[in-house]
Amino acid sequence: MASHSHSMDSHMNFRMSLHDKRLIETAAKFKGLKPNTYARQRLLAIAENDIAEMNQSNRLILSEQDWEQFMTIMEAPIEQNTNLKKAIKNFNKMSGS
Amino acid sequence: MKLHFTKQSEFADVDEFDCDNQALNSFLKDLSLLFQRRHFGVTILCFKEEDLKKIIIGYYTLCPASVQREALPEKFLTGPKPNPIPALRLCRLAIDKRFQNQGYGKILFVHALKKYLDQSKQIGGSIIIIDAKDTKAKQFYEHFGFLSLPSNPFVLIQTIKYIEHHFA
Repeated sequence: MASHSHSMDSHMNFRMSLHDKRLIETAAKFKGLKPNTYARQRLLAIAENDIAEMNQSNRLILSEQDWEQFMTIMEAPIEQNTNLKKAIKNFNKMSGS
Repeated sequence: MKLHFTKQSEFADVDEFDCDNQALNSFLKDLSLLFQRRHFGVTILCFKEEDLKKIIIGYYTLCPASVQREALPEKFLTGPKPNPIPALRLCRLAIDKRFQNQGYGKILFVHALKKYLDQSKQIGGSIIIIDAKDTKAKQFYEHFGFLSLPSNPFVLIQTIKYIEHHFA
């Protein structure tokens, strides 16, 4: 079962070189934050961004050929598709509508 | 057997779901709730009840989408069509391997189309975009009159008026 909690009771541990750790500590100091707070905030921002990027595919950009296909579909008279009609009929029968 | 449809929630037990496709399995288990919380899309679960246990048969995910034509030559940029054109996208549809090839794909697909149709009547949207995960899925959607895009045959489109016509 998935759980969704915002309480600060989970840990994430990972190894890194002393050089990288120092770099984070310096950046955190520059930002006036504790290294852990800095690392958490930066990592969370990147994760949010990565998740949002997954949603970019919802913008469909059409090529010239695609657009011609698209316009044909938009303007053409509707052709009855017996497979779809039958699937809808079966669905309605099953759901009692 | 009575089928039930419900929106994905943290109370749904999806751990046992296996459609034989790693990407679709992990979307349901790891990402679908995250997508829903951020309003990127909605995942609908289809399940049956057996000995008081809910068994997930399949799921589909619907997302708001848009069709854009900025990248097109000027001759295509005329006419009354808005840009972007509002659309809905069927991003994923998967059936657990225990229930594949038994007609459940069709049931979930028609349920998704009906949801599209209801949605478009409420908030608009004139195009349905479908992402087919492979050739078999592509043929499945073509069987119902959806057309592939020349630049990407695994993206299929059809109009809401086409769906409305078939539900009438």
